Amino acid sequence: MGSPCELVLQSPDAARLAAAARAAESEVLRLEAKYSRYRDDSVTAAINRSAGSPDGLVVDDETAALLDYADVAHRESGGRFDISSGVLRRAWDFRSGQLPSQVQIDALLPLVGWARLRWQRPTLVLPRPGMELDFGGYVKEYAADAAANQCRLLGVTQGYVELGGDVRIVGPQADGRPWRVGIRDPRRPEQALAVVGLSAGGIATSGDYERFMIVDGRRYSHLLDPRTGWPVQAYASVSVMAPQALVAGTASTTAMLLGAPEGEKWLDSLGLPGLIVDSLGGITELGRRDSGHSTIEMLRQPAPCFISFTFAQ
Amino acid sequence: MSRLLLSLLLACLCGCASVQPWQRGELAKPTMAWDPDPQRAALAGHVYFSKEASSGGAGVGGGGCGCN
Amino acid sequence: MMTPGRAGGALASLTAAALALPAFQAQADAREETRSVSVRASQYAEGDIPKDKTSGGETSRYDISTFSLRATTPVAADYRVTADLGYETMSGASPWFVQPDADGRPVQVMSGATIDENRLDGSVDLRRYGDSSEQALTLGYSTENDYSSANVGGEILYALGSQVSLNLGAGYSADKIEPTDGGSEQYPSRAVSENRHSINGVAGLTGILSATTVLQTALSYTVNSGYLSDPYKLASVEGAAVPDSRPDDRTQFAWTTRLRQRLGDLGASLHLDYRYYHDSWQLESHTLELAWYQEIGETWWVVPSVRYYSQTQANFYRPYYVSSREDGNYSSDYRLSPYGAISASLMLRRSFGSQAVSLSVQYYDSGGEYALGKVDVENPGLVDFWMATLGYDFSI
Repeated sequence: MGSPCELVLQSPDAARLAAAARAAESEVLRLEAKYSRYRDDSVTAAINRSAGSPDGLVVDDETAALLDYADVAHRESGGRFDISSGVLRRAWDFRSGQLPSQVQIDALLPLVGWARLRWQRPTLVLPRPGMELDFGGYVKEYAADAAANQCRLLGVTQGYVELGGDVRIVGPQADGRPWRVGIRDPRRPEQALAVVGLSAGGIATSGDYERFMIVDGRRYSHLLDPRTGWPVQAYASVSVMAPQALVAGTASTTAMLLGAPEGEKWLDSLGLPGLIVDSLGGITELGRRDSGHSTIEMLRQPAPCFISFTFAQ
Repeated sequence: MSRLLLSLLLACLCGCASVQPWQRGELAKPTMAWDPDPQRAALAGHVYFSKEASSGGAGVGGGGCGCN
Repeated sequence: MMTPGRAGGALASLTAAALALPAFQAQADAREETRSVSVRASQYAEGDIPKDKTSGGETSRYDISTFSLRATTPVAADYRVTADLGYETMSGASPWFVQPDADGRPVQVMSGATIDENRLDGSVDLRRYGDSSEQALTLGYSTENDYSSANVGGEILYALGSQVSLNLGAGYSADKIEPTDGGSEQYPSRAVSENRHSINGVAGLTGILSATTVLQTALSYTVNSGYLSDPYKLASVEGAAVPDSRPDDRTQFAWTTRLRQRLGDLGASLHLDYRYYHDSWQLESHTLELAWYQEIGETWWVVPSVRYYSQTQANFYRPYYVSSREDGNYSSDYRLSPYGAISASLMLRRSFGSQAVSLSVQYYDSGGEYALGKVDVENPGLVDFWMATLGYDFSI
């Protein structure tokens, strides 16, 4: 997955614990291999190879369900959640410290757009050569849910699965207390600005600090608006809690992509609990109604966001 | 009287709100079960059965006893 | 330009799409994964009968100690087996017959002998979980000094759509009574060996009214036939002692409605149960029970509850009889008399991970003054009791 992964399980039965850990790990590896951008034998590679072919290709049930999900997410996010936007990666190199030119982006925009694809279960057609699908935006959260499910199926009911900051709870700790998950301070990512107590469900965070570059005092992050090809610049991070890590991930990513104030309004309408940290360091707690499964405990004020105000040379 | 109440209740049930699967978390709480402590409920039922004239509830009756 | 989807619709659509994914399909129901063992120990003590209600002699009443064990486990993918075992020891004096005192007021005569009895009962329940239905089969057997009972029951649950489900059940019980000292020199008129059986059917509907409310309503119909009298009791008829003789059939009808309301902000659930009962002996009753399940933190439950009960009398019941009856039915058992009862109980439960300990205390008081209707003559044998139950559960 390219990011730190952690599996914490508790059970009085050692054999069951070992079996669950193995099952969870193999489920995560299976999904990583199946939807990896870097492997030639992955479903993603097969889909991307079919770009330009009018017949498209037939996908398996799991991929079909993931595509159905992406379709719903695209609609519910007003077009911001778009798994065909991966090609924009070719214009944005966050290690270079250089912004792409508008020409580069304009060349890629015709290849971006879920509406341009034809998805009629079970056949997927990518009409133009060069079009790509990228499952990376949500398969990690799905893998966390799938791994947690494997644990429960094998009779382990205490623990959690964490994949790169997205967590899915298997069940509360042995003594009944919830697990404590930290939410990173977006401007000091090695420190937590809040701790969430979770007994069930998942939490996902989307932030502009994961991959970014700062050019002329402005932050450009990896969260690109698929309609313009440029990064959104509003919130520093959004964390959402939902019964499934997958839904939590979609909600947090969409809120980031919608920006302020739409993102907060959209999250309010969902009614899920969570936290928004805006680019000036303001914190907004969402879903004040306690869901019964989670509590948010603020630790500190986030680091002041001076980035916007550094001297422009 | 009982017939009127019964039809009112049935009408109430048919007007059930559409509750989605993810919203059932609250309904699945242990204290929301029909009997969060089934043994206690069975014991209480047995005591009332032996001390009162009435019997019958929402489930199928169990066996008899010399207590009644 | 697309605008984000409609409010509540967004979460709905996303979650529905998420749940359609394979990883969520095979999700085992929490209930199917639990294997647990529970034990309960109860002590029941009836209050002494007031001296002015008895004609002298024994005034203390029944004490019952109960131990019960329950074990449940999933079997294969779709089945669950639950086994119950109970053991009870009863001792004390019980009401024998009622006779008028010098002023014509009924007084209770208690049985002289202190009864010492043991009862053992066991049952097994096998349940199958389908996609939109459930089926269950129950077998039970109980035995005590003078009574044994074997019963079988079945139940089917059907989901009618996603908010409502139907449950249908049927049961049969066959009992044998062999009273102690039946037909003996001391009690020549006491029954020696008798049988009774009953058939019972239940039909109910359960509905999810909202994200926080569920309601269940059910009708129960039972036909009893055989020896339905109490072989140890007598009735005073024109001054003479006559064995308790009740009709040899009894049809019973009960309508039960239960509500469970979640109050998430308070961390509590409210339980409301009501039952209306009527039988062919013209006895009618109302039962109303209210319980408040208060969760404190993640490990405590505090559950206060109250129960109100009121019944009318069986048509052949009298505290004592000044003239004989044409139908030959006689009973002065307080259980067939008109009265009401109020009960209050409190349960505390604490969980420790996969184990839990609970303590429950209940007080029950009955009297003519609690009944809904006017009770002219209260049966002197009405009972009040205290009961305490200690429980221990653990899940594997």
